[in-house]
Amino acid sequence: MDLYLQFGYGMKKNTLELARKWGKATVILSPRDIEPTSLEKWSKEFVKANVFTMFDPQCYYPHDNHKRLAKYNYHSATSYTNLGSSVSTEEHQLERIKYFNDICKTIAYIIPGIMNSTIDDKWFVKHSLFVSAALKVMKDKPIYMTISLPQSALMFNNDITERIISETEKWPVDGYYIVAEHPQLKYLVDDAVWMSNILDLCAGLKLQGKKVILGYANHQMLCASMTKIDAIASGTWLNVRTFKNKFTDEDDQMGRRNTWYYYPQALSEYKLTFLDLAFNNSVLQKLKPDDNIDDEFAEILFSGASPTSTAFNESDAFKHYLHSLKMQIMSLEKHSYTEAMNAQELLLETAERNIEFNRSNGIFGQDRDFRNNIDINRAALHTLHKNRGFVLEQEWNTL
Amino acid sequence: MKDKILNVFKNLKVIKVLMPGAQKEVFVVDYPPFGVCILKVIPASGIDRVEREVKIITENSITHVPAIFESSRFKIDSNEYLYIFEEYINGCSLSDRLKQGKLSLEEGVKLLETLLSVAMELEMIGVVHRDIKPDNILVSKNNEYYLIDFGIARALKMTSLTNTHVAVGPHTPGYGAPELFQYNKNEISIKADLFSIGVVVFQAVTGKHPFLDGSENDMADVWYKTAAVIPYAILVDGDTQQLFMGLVSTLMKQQISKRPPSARKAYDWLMTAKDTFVLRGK
Repeated sequence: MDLYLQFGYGMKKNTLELARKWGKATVILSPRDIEPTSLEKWSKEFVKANVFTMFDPQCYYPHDNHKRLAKYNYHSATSYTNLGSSVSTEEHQLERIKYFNDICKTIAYIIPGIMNSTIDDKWFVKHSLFVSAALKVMKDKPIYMTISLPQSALMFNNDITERIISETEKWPVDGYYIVAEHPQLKYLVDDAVWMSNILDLCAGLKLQGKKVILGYANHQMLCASMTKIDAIASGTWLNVRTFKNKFTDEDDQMGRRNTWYYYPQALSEYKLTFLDLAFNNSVLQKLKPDDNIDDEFAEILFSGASPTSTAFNESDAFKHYLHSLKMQIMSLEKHSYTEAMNAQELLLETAERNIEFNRSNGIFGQDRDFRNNIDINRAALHTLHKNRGFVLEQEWNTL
Repeated sequence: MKDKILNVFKNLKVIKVLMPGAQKEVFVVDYPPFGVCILKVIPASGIDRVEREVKIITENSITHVPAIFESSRFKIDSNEYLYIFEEYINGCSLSDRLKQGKLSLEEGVKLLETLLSVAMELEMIGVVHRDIKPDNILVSKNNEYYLIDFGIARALKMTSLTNTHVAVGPHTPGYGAPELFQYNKNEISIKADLFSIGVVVFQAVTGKHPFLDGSENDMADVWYKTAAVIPYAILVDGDTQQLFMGLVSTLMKQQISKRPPSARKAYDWLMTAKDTFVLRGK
């Protein structure tokens, strides 16, 4: 599994910096955060910096009046006048999306997926139309189908997951780009069924031999590496680390009030004021990232001064978060299924221990504390093992 | 009837009557062209499924499925019948064998290997047996297993013989996969047979049915349990890393996507896992 960058507000500079550190990066571009006129210029910079791109058309809500997406003029298939020609409205829409992919020199196409409140026959028909149209219009690069899921699709039971896996088997696409709403739109998922189902969906699609990218993810999805999917995509603000039910033009305003530090070994984030407390209690060094994370972005926090008095800022926090995530993903890559599962269990146990240590020193992650999510991830991993463990174990090195 | 049949086939000697009856008669016979074999005589009305079965077996030489030597319609007293000369397997059904006790891991591996190799051949020719169960498996005197009775087999490339509007497809409750009784023709594939193979092998090596405990009141209860009960994990002697039971459990997953993607794949997994089994005499 790799980490792709989910583009969002102010992400260009971070992408270039992270690509420099990693040698290369893959970013999923977000048209709502880039003016169509900037696309060409930015793409040239990305190519130069060894940044590979994909272009998420973000047509999840085709009937919403989204000002920024409207500038791209492909937002809704229904906006095309049907001239009675043999070219379908979906083909018109995909031709336009292809045009922007060509500008960005993307490595693969992401074709639209619609966010309906229910995943029913109509949903499958609509997506089949997109697949058929894509096969006609997009012949020069791999095609990823977007599967966008409302929170209800993954809650309660796994009937919908099973149906998606079974119906998509017939779709001749190269891969899937999954975006899934979290229960109650919470940043960290506290619903074990939802968590089990997203892993099951990832594994089921991957076992079909398809590429799978899980978009709008955060560190809770490190466990997705057990499904051997190709990448999770994450970004800066919370609105690109969790998929929201609606995109609004005000999204980029959220989450700006505080700078959070991600403590990788606790899978938790802490406000800088809590790090000050750690500094005062002489335990700040305990919150340093592991040496193997080789992090330059948060170094300043541990330089001997009170964290809030340092120059550590939001941009550093984002880069530190994404770099840590990338390194954690790499550390979870193992040669066998059993080793990988052991590494996941160790990750959770270590986090549990570190969270308790922090709490005993008055350091709390508040709503970004992973304490209540550890068992959710454990449950999901156990369920995955029970349902698909044998198959994953057998196929581990072929996936 | 027996005497009339003897008149039709010259030099035929009936050794044993296996199934006397008005609808279908089955004999063990000695008939010079084929030697000792099975003769089935069936009234020719409403035998679409039987003829489909004959077609599937004669057009494809499937290993571990008794061969059909000859089949044709004929008349006795102006009534039309179908006769079938079939390879004779000297042994008993797996059901009868299991009455003497469960199979060892070694026998279970052989049973699973045989059934998966048959399933692989069926997968290649686009046929789903749909009725794999202990009654339809023969164990020969030299401990070879054979799959019989393709009476409700589905040839995926041929017209379905089941009415499209039926709510429940042909199967044996307790052995048929959920997609057979929650009938959706589009979902029927070799994976339905993999489910039944899992159930049969589980039952054969553990002595217990994975979903049923005998307390079922009616067919709905059987269907419910087949679709909902998660079998207990049972350790089998010699299955050192539990890969044998892991594969068997994967075969009989209630949800289609959680079963092996193909019979070929399941067979390959068994071959890989075999190294971890400690078998008698090894």
